[in-house]
Amino acid sequence: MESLKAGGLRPSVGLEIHARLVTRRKLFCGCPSVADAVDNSAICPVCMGLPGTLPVFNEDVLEPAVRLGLALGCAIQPVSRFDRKHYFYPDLPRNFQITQLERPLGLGGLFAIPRGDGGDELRVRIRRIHLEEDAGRLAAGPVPGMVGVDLNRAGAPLVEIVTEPDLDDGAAARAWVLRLRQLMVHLGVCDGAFESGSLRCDANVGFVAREGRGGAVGAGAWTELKNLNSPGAIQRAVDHEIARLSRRIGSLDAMRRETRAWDAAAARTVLLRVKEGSPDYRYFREPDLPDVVLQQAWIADQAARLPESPLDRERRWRERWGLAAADAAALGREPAVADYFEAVASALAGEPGGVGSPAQAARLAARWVLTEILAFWQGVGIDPDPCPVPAGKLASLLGLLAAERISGKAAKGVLEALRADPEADPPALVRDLGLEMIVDPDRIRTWCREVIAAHPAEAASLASGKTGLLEFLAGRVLAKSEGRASPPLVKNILRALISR
Amino acid sequence: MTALWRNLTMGRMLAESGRGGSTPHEATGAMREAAGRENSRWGAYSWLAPKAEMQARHAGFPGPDGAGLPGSGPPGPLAGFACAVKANLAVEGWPCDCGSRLLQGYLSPYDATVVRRLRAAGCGFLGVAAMDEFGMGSSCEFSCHGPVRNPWRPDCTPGGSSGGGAAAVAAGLAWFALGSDTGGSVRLPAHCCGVVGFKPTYGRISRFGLTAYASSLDTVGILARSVGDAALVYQAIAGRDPHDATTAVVPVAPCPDGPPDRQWRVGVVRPGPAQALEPAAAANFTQSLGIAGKVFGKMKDVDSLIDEVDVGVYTILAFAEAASNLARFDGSLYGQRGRQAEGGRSFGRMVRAVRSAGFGPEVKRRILLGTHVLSTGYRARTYDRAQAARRRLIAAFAEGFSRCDLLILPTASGGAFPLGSRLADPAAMYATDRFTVPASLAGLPAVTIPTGLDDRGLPLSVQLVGPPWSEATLLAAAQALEAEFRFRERKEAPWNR
Repeated sequence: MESLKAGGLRPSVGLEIHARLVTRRKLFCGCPSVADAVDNSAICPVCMGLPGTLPVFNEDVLEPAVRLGLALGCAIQPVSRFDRKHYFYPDLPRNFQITQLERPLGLGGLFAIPRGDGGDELRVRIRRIHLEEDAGRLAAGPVPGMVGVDLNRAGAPLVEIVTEPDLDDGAAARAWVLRLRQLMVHLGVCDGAFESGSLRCDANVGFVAREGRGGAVGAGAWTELKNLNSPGAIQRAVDHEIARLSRRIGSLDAMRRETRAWDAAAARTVLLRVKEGSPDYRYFREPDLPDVVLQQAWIADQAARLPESPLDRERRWRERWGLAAADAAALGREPAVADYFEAVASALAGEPGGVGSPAQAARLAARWVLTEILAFWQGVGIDPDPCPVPAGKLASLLGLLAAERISGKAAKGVLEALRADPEADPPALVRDLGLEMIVDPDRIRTWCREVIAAHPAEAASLASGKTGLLEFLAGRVLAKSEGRASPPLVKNILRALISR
Repeated sequence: MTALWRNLTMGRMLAESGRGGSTPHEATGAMREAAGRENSRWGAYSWLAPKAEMQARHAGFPGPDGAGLPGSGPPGPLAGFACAVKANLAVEGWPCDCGSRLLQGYLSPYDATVVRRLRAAGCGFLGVAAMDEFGMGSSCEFSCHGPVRNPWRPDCTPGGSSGGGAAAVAAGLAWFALGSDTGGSVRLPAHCCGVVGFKPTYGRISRFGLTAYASSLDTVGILARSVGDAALVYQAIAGRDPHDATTAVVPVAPCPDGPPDRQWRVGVVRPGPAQALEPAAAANFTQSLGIAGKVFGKMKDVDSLIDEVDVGVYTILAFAEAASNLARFDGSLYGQRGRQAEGGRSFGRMVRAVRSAGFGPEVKRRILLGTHVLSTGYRARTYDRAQAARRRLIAAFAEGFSRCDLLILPTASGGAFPLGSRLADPAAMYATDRFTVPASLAGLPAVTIPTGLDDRGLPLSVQLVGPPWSEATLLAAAQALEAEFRFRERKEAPWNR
């Protein structure tokens, strides 16, 4: 990379993200928009593009698309419209795609995410966000050697988000896409599933002159990378392409604009076509669809009703509750987990007895959610949502722990019982399982006397000032109580007996 | 002697039936029998509905025993009548081949909105009317079923592209026909066959189920025996359709019955020097203006509303949209795939093979031109300029209609031309539409009514054009004019032979 710096160039990456909007129906017909269904079971003459059929815009897509646009800081356009993009492909029933070219739904925008360990922000400008229909899918055909087409996905509503080339490497691209995915899932506009194709990514990779060093050879080399369909693929493909392009800088080849696909198995990019041979899409306005007209008041209302963003929420956790940045990010990654954590924290703050401040409650909740709950919940998949252990039950359990009515060990036992029976009541479980902490001084004093009698040498050393032995003796007492005696009380009583 | 059903309008048929004559159902049955015998003379229908199907699906159509089937609910305004449906309109289970080899064997799985509405009005369907392939032609010679012949003179074309429907109506083998009009495809055949041709305002009648040629120009139109019949059908099919986002919410006004409530201001659009009419047509137009003057009072000339460049504008815009709309015909989901496309070839090669073999020469010409005008580097000089010209044309019409209620102009520069006479000269063929494309480009309602015959005994007509959504006025004025010409009574007409 040193040679690049010398050449005055830096890598520059822009992304195009396609996200399938969560709607009941497809973009231009009444078919259900489903990700998983028997091949060609969610199709009709319209999404099959049969002769005579016409698209009719499904206004249900406006709310999720506009919410996402607003959350990305885009200016939602009061008038947008659809265009036809022409290319022949077997999964495209009309051999043109209905998309938005000249007048997209949203223009401009910025989505900034924290970079690594709370350093400076990674600021990525949004060029545009627009609506378009998805294509179908090629599938194994009924006849060997023939390819079949499944049109369930054809006409499903997509938003395409196009960024400015503000990213500089694969790691940044990956982190940014994951944060974008988190936002979309949080808003409920996309399910965020890379596996099922709900989220797909293309990247434009190239080099630009560093500021103040214009005109460097190699600026202008660009590759459009297709098929980056997982966060890992995004990172590896972008880095691979940056390295590949950097080797060509200075050569004539560097000026060639290529479209390449990421071959995950071979871990390299493969040439699809060079720019000169790229298709002419012959865009023109879709004559079958009127303009999409939005009232400013409606747009303002959507903006006012946007929930707190995941990034703002994490900032609040850090600043108001004192959560570590890494913990806040881990809790915020999955919206279901974040919501669950918030629910536990607020229920715990309201538990009677010594929880302490809301911040203390939140930190206790965070500790338990990050360790016990997350491990178990991820084990069964974040679906099912809600968590198998209801937030209120965990809060109740942590309330008992904070009030020192049970030990940490006992609390884990109660949690086990709750997983088996989420309906159970934690205080009742504690009672039934006999896990209640023993705070009766007389019982504890009896155990302490027995332990001192059994370990006279250690007791004498403790009395002569070897305070480290207090832990040893207390451990013996706790063992006698089967872990149920209150540790502070045990220590107090041991001290009193020894010093007597 | 000619059977009454061959000559009578639907309105008169109902009156005759009321006086104890045969019913529309019986007449339609006889018409279907005649179509079976006579259709091969004209080639008007490319497919005739089996009688059994008509009986099953056409409530009230007479069964084998002559008794009508009990209809469900009250009989609609078109109960007992039946029409021809242009081959680019979807009728469930019927061929919808658009006159193209590529779509031979394709049966539509659904009804077009206009078909559904006609069914609801009690109307049945006699068969599929032949047409120029995908609506591209002015002579009905570009069809995989061979040419359609003009019932007035079999060596002449019926006009196109809805020529099959016009021929069926003129030959008395349909009460009316559903057609489509993109640049004149209903009005020109109506002109050539001496029947009424009506094209509504763009957005007035649903296009759902009409195979798209040029989406921003396509309209469903009506070919009828009289203006009154056209109005009857128009009332049954017009209006907003949730399946067609370009249909308007403007209410459909009932067509006035009887004399107008006020004097219409009618403007005359005279052909320019480049658009000279054939002598017989010119004489007829002058004579027609005289008769129109009696009906409408003093008329004034309106200048420069049509221009020879309009055909060029239409050609660019319509062909560009056609290239897009016809992209879907690749043989992969439906239509003729052809044997040469099977067997491990690539998708691209299959598409090329299917389209090369399936499309006729005129369709290929328009797809190529349409692809060209939208291509990078050419679009600004062609498509974008044509769009600008279209906007100017719309503005010019709006200005014209600030000074008058209706325009009167010729439909074509002469009577039907001989089969084969314009096949070698596409530009001459396109210019056939010079008087009809302006209303199409401006999305205006227009009606063509027959006025007389030329020196070869072929029909001539005038065209009335109104401002947007003026169908009711337009039809009322056309009806008043029609009453003066009394063309329906001509002894030479095929329906009176």
